[in-house]
Amino acid sequence: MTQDVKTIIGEIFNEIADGLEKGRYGEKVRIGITTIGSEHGIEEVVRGAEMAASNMVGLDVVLIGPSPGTELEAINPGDCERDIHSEMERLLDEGYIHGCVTMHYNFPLGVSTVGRVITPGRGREMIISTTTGASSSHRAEGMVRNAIYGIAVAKALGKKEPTLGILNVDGAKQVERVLNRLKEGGYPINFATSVRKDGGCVMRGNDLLAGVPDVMVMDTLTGNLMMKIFSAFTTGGSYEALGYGYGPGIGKGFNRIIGIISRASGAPVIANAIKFMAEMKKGNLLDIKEKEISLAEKAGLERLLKELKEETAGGTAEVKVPPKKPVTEEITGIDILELDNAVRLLWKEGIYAETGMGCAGPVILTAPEDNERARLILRDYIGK
Amino acid sequence: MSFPVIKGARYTLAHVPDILLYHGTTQSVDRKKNPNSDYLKKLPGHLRSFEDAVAYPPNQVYIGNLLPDDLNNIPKPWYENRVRDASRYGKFGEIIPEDEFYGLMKIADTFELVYLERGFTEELKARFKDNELLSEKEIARLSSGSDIDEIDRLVKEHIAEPLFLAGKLVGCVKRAHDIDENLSAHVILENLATKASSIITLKKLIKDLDIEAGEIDYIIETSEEACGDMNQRGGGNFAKAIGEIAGCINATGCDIRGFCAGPTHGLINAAALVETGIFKNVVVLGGGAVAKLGMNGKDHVAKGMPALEDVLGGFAVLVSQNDGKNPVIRTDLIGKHNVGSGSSPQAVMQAIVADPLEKAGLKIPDVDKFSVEMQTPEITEPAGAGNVPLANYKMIAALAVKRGELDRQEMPDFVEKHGMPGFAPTQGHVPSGVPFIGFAKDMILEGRIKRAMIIGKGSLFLGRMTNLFDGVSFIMEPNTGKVEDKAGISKEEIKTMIAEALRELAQKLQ
Repeated sequence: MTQDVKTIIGEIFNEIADGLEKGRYGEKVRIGITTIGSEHGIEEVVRGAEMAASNMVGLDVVLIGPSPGTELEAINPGDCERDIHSEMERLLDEGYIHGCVTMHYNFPLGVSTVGRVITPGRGREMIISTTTGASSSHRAEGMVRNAIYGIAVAKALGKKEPTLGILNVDGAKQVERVLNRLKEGGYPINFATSVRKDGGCVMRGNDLLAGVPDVMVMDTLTGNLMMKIFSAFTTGGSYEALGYGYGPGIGKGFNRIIGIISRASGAPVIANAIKFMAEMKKGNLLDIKEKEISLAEKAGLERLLKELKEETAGGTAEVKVPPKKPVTEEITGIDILELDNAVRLLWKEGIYAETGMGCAGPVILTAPEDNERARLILRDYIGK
Repeated sequence: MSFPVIKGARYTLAHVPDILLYHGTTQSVDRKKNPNSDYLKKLPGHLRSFEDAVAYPPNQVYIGNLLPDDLNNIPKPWYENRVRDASRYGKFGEIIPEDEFYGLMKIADTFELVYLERGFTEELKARFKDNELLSEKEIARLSSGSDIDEIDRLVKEHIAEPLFLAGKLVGCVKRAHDIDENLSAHVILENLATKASSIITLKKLIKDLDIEAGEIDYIIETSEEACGDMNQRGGGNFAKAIGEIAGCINATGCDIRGFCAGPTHGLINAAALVETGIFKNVVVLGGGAVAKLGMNGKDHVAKGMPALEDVLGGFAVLVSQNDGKNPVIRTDLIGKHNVGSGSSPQAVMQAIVADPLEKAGLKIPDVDKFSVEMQTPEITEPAGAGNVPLANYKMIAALAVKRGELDRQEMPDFVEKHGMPGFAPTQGHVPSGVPFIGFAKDMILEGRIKRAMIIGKGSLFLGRMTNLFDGVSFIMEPNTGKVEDKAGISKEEIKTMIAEALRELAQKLQ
């Protein structure tokens, strides 16, 4: 048996021993939280962290930043936000913490956060997908991706076939059509049905208040509004008392568990947000979301989204491209950021040309017979 | 599966002004069209001495005596600001004078096609005696040399191409067939030059990385030459021919072609061969291109500059199994420009820079240094092609801005910090990404950078088989230090095994 397998077995025996002694078993999950930036002061964050640590089995909480008067583990790289964030990222990348909660984080393009609230009607929990960031600059495309991300979070929380509803906002009908086509293509979606008589999976206000679907899909701006309303309607907005915060950032290839809370989040929401990230780690969010995304891609996601965008895009007045012909003559020395304008100018003049970036910098390629005229037309683009 | 590592890289330059004058395509094409052109008359006056070439700042960077960023503090033009008491020997390699290079071509010749004059051969034998890279056996391959009259006759009857040294005939390269142009004297000369350039670089790699030549089990050659005959023009296998002379008795290999993107394609293949355990030590190498010598000579002469394209560039990189120390190749984050990716520069950069980073949840500024086409700017600018590395860096910065990963005003700072001045000769595949690998390895080991991206790009239209462009990339990162075993079993599976064993045990105790 190789050395590694032995060490793994050793770890498991240790866990069993812990379980026997401390009466709780299971892998330790360690979640970090940055302590500065809250409108209610650092103490509120520390209190929230302590609440989370005490009421969840097998959870260690690590405070990152100044954290006065706590026996929780604390790492203090000073009180500059940039240092705290890079410390958080370092701990995450080295695997010391499995996930973390913070108030502000600029996710890469295409990553948005999936929130979780408690609905007032019957106290049911509901996923709001999504709440910050942007899965795409195109509205309807963003909502389709949000549906996949919301399902991933619900599955990571243990729901085998989470029900999905689309909030009746601008673009809901298109999103419904694309999701149905995706389902036909083989991506399983369990659509919820509205409590309203006319049913269907496009959800109304009642469905919001009653928390009808497990996952409620909407655009990020609406999602952001919903988070504030559901978490602070009892306090008037300045103190978020209910729910689990804006949730983990999700996007293809984004492999970190980073949960977002607001500067107005109170200790109960901070505690729940930490618990939420721990559940995401235990529920294996990162693997599930990659599986969901590739499953959706196999069912034709990218093609459906392309059609969706073409359908809605008016498109700027594209210059008509002259008939294609072989191009072998290079024009070099044009500033790389001007290349597109330069080629469009040639197209306008009826000269077919292509841009390229081979092994000698940016080039415009024309047919030999057009090269002379093309150089003339582009004379003030070509660097002297 | 643990990632393969880059054990090391070595680089050589051969300063060959006479080969430039007589065999570079710009010159030979001009000579055919009009032999006494003004350019051909002026060119000899613009050829540099060996000392000038050695002291040329970019050349000192290429062999590792200066860092690429040091060029920022050397005033321009660099050819007028020589490095004081520069040495031909550097941390990563050396600069070879033309007479020694002719000796290397003779050593590389296995079909007696290279003739060197008798006296010149004796001089070389004396010179090579204390050359630490060449063994007795190799020096003996110089054999006794030939009569100058025989050489003169072969050249006059157009059976051989001449080899001059400061204008004096010292040898020739014979054709290998009387009518097959793929075996013409000119093609044989080009192929032997690239072979010799690779051999000396590979021997330098083997000596410096204290690895036995016999431990290398595969060689991938990635120049842009074609060796073959009229029935198989690109038949190939420079790799094995080079391994033979360098004493790699346990290696075979093959040639990978991709225009300028060849080397990066080669490194990706090497990484795959090592990670899967098919081979343990794979060398990816490439020699210089005679054809490109003096490529922009007309512009250099017209602008009163020395002919700066007077060196043949060579490189060799050793890719080996994870040793827990050297930087790894992230084989899970390979960038590639696909047939459907579109050929605009944005599409090319998206495919080979942004997509792999996205896979890892990384942003463009998370890569500390990008190595793109690293041609020395003062070679290409007078010819109107601009500053090629800078154009690449501006494109990468623009892409980062578009993706919201960089503010617009940070672009100049990004270009300087994440890019570097070009320092490689315009030798096609040679400047394309690989020149920075030696520096990247050291900077990663010293903790000065965390992540470098090596990018190779190619202009495929030149071969008229496709109009598509091409590009591939990989990322080098620090070694995590632990060599993961190929334990296929996951922790979950082991847990269930133990749980079952405990239940069986419990059963027995009932």
